[in-house]
Amino acid sequence: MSMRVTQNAIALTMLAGLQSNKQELSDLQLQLSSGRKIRRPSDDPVGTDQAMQYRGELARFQQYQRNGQDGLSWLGTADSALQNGVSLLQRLQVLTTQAANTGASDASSRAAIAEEVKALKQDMFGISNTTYLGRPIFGGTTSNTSAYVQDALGNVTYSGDTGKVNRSVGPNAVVQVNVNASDAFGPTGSDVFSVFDKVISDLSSNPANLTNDIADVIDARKRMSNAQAIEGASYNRITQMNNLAGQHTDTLTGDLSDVENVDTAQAVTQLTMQQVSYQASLAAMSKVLQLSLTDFLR
Amino acid sequence: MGTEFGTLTAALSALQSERKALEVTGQNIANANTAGYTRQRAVFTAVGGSVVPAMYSKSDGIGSGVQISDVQRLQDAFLEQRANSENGKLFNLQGVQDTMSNIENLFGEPGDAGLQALLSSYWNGWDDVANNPSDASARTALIGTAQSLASGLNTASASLSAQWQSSLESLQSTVQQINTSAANIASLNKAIVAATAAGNAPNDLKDQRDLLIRNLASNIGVSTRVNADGSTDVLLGGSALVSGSYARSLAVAGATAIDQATTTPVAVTWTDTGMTAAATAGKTGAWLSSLNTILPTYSQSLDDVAGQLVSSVNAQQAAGYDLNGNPGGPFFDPAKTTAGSITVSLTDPDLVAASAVAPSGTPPQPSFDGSNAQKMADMSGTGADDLYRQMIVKLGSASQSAQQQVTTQTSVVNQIEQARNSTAGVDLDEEQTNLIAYQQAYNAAARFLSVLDGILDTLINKTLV
Repeated sequence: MSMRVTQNAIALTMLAGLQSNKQELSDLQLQLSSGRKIRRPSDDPVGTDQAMQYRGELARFQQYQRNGQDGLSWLGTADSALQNGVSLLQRLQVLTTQAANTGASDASSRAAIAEEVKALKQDMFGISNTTYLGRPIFGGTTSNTSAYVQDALGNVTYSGDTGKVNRSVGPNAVVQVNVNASDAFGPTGSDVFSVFDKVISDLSSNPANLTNDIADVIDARKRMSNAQAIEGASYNRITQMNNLAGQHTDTLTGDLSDVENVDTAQAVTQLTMQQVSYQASLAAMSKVLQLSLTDFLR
Repeated sequence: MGTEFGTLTAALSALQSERKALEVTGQNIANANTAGYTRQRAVFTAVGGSVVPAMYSKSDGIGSGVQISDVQRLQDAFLEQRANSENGKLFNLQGVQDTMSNIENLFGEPGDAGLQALLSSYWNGWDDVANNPSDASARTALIGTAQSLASGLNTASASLSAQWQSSLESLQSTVQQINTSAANIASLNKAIVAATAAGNAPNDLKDQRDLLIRNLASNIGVSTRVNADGSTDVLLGGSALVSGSYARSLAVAGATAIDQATTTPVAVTWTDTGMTAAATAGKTGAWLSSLNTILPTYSQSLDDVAGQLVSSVNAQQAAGYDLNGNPGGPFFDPAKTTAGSITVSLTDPDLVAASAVAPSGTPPQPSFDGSNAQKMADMSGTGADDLYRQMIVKLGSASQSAQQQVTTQTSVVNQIEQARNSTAGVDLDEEQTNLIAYQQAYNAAARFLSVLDGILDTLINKTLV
């Protein structure tokens, strides 16, 4: 049976069509003006899940980069301190060798050398207490303000601890950024300061032993160079991880944009198509609704 | 053949009937755009002669004119019932969808301003403390991000609770409307029964009643039963809401706040018996499921996020040592584990337990270790974050499915409306055609009358004079 069609039915059907056209138009316009495809979770629940994971990961990786930057500053400070320490020990080696060469040094010149060695020891003491943001970088995780302390007699002792200072620079990537004091300055009792003390005392009272001291100085220098190399490796590792984190951040930003943001070209095309169809409905409506039997009756 | 005067009566009946039909057409045209109006049709019946002959009164079988035997309402009762029940479903789905999208708006995900962003910056704050455990500003900043996070959770919870309250108010006003409609239907029933008994056709009253029933159907979802006396009973889940000229009323009972909704759910009850009424369809059903299921579910999920946050952070905090060398105290108040109540109880930046290393030496000295803070930061993306993300995704899927259901149901309702309109709606072209037909018939009847007049004139004035 064919359906009986009334003016009201036509008007209502057309109105419903216009409404849905307008709804589509307004959705597209909203997408274009906000630039976002997902404005609420129900727009795309799966996309929302991805977007939220990407956002969380993005925040995490940006923080990894921050951690890495901070670690690099710490390592940079340690690097220059150790570099200075190595130079100091090279100078000590030269001086000790010079003094051990008895032909070239008499008591007065040894005394002069001893003065310089004492000054070098003070410099080394300064280096051992290098700080970064107020913290002694060779003191482990100590809350003391310095890593080494000196008593009235000039004896230097370690006051730090063996704690590790780590930076989290990636998922499951923890890098130690501090150098253990014993690795750089030697174990307590036979550390670099005891080498200085030995040289100073031998210079004044036992010049014959200076030849043996040279070996100790060389050992101390090698140890410090080694510590610098280890620290350099950490530096490289963090740089690498930071680059990776940077790349990953870029990828995540791209992924997030793919999920969340509108493809403008596509949306504009859709908008144009939608406008055409809206215009067509309007034109049809204006033609059909004008017809009435009234117009044809006298 | 009948008598001349008898034929005059037949002509008169034709004039009266055509005029009546014109009136009905006029009424249809006048109400072409009236909501709920059902088109009417005058039913012409030929008045036959007496088929049972008497001694001196015999019919010649031609009949004696016409009468309007009925003014019919052209309505399909089955379609009306279907329209009512499908409309009830539509309003129910729309109500659920409204609640869902309100909840979605409240969380603002995915975005830079939602709770997820607050969680991320809180965990990142722990990284900064791990990097510089001795730095008071990193610790202070961490407490700041924690306070933002806690108040973000508080606000979200308060908004859910406010939405619950406004839903309850809407339910109460909907129930008020239902009671008013039921009472009006009862009094219309009374008027219709009286009019029908008096032999009138109370079509307009019936239209009003149908409109009210449709209103009831969208508000609570009802079925109807037509009685022989012309009244209509309205049934709600098998119990009569309106029975003839008597109407019962409903009331809202149960929880008055969102935290009571699971133990004492909100219910719609009969005022007279106190029993729970079957109100699962229409707007009422939607409000009830918002109040008893949807809002409490998301409120609970949010509480779970807050609870997870409090327990995991406090446990990790207790595993570490603060800047004074003491084991870490609670970061969030351990007694307040809901989203509505979560509070940062730690105010002194020194009490943030960044170190995993116990103090050592004599006197014991605290360590500037940051590994406990790092463990805290590594919780990012797990635990609370995970629960929260799952909740948002669940909300998104549920809301999307509600939207799709609304779209489907809307097209079902549109089809039925169209079918209903096709039967009961006024078509102006048709009415104008009828106008012409009735007018022409009226003209012809008048012509017939003047012919009769001529006959009588000839007979009385010109014959045998």
